[in-house]
Amino acid sequence: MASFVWKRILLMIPTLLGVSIVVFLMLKIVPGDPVNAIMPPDASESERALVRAQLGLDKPMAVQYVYWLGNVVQGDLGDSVARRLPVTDMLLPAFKNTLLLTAAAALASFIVALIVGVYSAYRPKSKLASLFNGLSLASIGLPNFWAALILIGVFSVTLGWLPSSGMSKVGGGGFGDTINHLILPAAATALASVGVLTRMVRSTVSGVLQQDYIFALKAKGVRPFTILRHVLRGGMPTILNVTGLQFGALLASSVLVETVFSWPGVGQVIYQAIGQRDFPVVQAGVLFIAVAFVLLNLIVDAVHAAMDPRVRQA
Amino acid sequence: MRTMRKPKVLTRKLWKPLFAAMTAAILLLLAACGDNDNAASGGAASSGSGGSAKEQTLIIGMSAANLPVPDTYPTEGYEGFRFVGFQIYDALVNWDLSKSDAPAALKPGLAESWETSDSDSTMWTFHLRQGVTFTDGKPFNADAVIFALDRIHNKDSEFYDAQLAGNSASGLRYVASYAKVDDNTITIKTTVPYSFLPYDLTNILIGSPDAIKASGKNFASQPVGTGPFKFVSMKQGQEMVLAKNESYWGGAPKLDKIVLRPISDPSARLAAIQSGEVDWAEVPPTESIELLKSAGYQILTNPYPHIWPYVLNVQDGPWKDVRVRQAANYAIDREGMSTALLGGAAKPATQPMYEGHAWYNDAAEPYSYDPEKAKQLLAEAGYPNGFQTTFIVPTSGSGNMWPIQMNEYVQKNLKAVGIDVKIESIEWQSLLTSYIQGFPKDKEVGAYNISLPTISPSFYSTFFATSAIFPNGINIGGYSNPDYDALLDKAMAEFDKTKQDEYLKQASKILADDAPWIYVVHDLNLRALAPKVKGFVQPESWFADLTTISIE
Repeated sequence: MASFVWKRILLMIPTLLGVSIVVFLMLKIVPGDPVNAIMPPDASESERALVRAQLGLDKPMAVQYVYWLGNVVQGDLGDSVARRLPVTDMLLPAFKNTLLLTAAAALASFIVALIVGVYSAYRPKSKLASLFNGLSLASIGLPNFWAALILIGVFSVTLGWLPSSGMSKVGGGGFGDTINHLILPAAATALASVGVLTRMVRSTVSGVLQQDYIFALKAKGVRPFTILRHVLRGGMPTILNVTGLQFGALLASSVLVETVFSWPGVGQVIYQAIGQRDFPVVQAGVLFIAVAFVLLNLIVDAVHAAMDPRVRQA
Repeated sequence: MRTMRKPKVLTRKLWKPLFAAMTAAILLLLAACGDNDNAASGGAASSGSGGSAKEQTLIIGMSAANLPVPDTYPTEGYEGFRFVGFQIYDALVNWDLSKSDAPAALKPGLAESWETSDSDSTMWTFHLRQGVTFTDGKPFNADAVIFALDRIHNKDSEFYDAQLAGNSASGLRYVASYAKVDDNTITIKTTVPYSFLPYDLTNILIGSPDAIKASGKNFASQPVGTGPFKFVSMKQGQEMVLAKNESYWGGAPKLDKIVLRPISDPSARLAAIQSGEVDWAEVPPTESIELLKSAGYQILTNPYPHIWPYVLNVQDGPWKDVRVRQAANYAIDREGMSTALLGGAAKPATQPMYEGHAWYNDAAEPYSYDPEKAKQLLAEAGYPNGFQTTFIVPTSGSGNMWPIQMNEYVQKNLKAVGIDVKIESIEWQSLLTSYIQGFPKDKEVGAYNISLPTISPSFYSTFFATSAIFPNGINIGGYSNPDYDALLDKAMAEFDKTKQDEYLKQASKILADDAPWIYVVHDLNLRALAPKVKGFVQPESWFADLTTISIE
């Protein structure tokens, strides 16, 4: 088991290196450079050149990349070009906020999907199950920024129950206030994954329900609740696996929801940084998400391997 | 059954702790976030937006995507200057933002008065305001001004900052040298007689030298100036808190505290003001204007020096002919765009400045909506059946308003007179980058759509002077008119404000008649204020005086 984990951790290095090279190249291919973003439009070319040199942007691409990589290896992610702050000062708090948002969303969609999915698998012909089926399809098709606006319209503007933006009210903060601000963005984020998870839980559970051992249990006259526990145990590896992957996907795709709710997360930071061609921030931000994604995959795989020896040997 | 047992047991062992661990992690994160918030608000008395607390707090929903970095040249463009730069700092010359019925004029800031020498008009003397202190208690004097200028102009200075220097460079373009005369006087020598200098100096903000020396690179995390408000705290991406400067030389503000929140999405800003989370929302969606009005919100608009034009390529192709350019200007239904499309958030523009501004010229071509005249002009120019052209336009971006819809509107208008426009919309930063490199040589591009502040008279030279034709400057369309250049030179060397304005007014007429741009609309600075916000004067300016505001 330990060697399995170590192998995966070693594999992370080329993955992350690859990600950073791709991001770097993409940012360089896209027209525009940070100097134009931070300078007034009437600045002259010589004034721009001065700043470009100061930021080291006049060097060849490969040199810039190697220089950046060298600093990263030493633990220095550099300074934001546009905001002139250490990148870590911007990204660490933002990453914490994103983690909170996506973890809450993943947990919520996991719970909802489990209940709804199991019910639908048990009573596939019931009216409620077809309703759930329709809703889960709708949630997959629904753009989550749009859902976010609807949630704001209903719960913040019309009903006035929940705040529409930010992470805390002015002079507020603290546990309750943060939860209050978390509910709507987490719900909007969860919408993207709850449909997928529900359908997956339903099909997995229906699959397990067809297994011989379930028929055997039923034939023995075991209580339905005990059977349910057996069903869940049988289906859980798949369910956990997909939930983990969904968590990773949410982490990477929370940018729209973060923008609509002004949630100060890493997606928002990267989004702004792209607009300003703020390379160090985009690079580090993507790296953060890539590390989180890879780690998450590793955990999912490790759990899966612990449950299923076939995976371990592969 | 034996083979099934092992995985089952493992599953049960694993998924429950995993689930529990995840829940615990969320709770921990929540607790951590909560703690941070408490720490950052520094135990200040809490005053909710709806509270009846004695403390007067104004919460502003900014349209910028992020909080401005509060250095002496803030980020986030003029919105950064509006809410942070001019609140924390002063310049030698400030803007008079006290009137809502006249364009903002210059007024003494940290300099009480200034004049040029009778014998040498390139030699300026600035008499500094006495008895002013920075919010760290240190006195403001000539050394502070010299230090501020060294920081952005003197490469040999220990505190020279190339990035700030680059940002501020256009403001010091004509400055040859500067010197301290005594504690309350400095001189600035310009390279040529240059009467626009006071305008340029409004963007040169003065920070406390001691604070800059002490915090060096971190100055922006604890900025110190002389402005009406002082910096308290900033939470990245969330909020910046400013507190009143009790000893402000211009009189202490009525507000105790300003909280800035960046909310870049217009619908989210609307929701925030509707739910009372902010008291002030910049540029709410135009379709919400009536809704907000009927709910009692103050909807403020006022013209200010902003223009939304097309910069035409007048060196090549059909746009070389002035009749074609005038035709395009006559073909656009500006009134329809301003009212129907933009809900009154803009007003028609037929020349660089708006009606009521000192540089606006009512004798210029009127550019009413006249498709017949446009067709006639096109026919005279040899394009009875019109022509095809490409406009490069932005998809979003600061000051560009609602570029996609507006460009489609113009496209429809021009199509009606035979000008078939292919719209190429690109992201704002890419557009800026390609703009400053001039019109592409390898393909036909008729125009760039960008939007601009027209605050300072240097606007006239930067975008239209022959000397600024690309690559010497950013007059990328290549517009050139000797009469215009002569007027501009006269204005630049004219130190009498009335006469200077008169020259610029004449220059405006030439710009309208020659039509190197298609003038479309002026933005009206739409903002919404909660009913309880009292005493704000919406000026004809990019900036805002927040000292007169109180909360009821």
